[in-house]
Amino acid sequence: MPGTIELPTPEVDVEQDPQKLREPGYAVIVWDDPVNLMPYVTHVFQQVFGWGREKAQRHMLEVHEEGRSVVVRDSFEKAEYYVHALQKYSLTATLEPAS
Amino acid sequence: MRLHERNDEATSWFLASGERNLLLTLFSRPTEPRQRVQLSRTSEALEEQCQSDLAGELETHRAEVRSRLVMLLGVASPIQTTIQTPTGAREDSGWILRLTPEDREFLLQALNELRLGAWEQLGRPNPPEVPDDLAPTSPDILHWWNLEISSRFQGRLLSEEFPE
Repeated sequence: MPGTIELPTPEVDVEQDPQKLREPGYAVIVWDDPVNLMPYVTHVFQQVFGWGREKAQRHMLEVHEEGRSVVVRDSFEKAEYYVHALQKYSLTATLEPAS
Repeated sequence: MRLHERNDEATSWFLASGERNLLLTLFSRPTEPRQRVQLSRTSEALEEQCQSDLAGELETHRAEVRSRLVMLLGVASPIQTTIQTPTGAREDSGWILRLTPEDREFLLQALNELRLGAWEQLGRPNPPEVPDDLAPTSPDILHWWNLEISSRFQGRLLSEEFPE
């Protein structure tokens, strides 16, 4: 295309580059466990994400019945914040690169 | 433990003397060592990058929460109250614990921390229910007791503050 300059593409190992790891596109997953009580998990979702009870219960049931629920997809910083918040309540939550 | 009063800023809970002493003891004791928290199941790079931050933050947070709860239980106000029972009214003495919404969340977190610590010490039983054949001399008795008692407090707090 006339008038444009094609920049070289830097060769970066995504898994080794902290900057790449911080780009948007991370999922927060809450995993099922046999010990956290269902009303407690619902309450935690309401507190951490500000959800209404119906949405919080839907995700809680998804965790319970399917083993996991993706509760947030966001930038690295926000996803990490949510994982820390959930871990403070001792829920089994992890941060995964969104596929 | 029962809901005593509620206003826009806080809820007040009636604790029997035994309940207050029990909570003070539970939150003053050293915690059971918890298993390492995993941050990512699919990315080793993420796990490595974030693990130390998470572990340190959780440890600090848990210590602050327990310290705050011990302080709140320490400044609870004594109260003499009348309660209705099936056999009539009777005097009851205890303590009033005032919890802001933030303090309530701290209490829920600390109780759940106790539950999970006990559950891990028991080898993560599934379901986490006291076995019928648990011997009175079993070394697991205290862990089961911690699991059960913290569940009861947690359930009471949630059901009274947020009824279905």
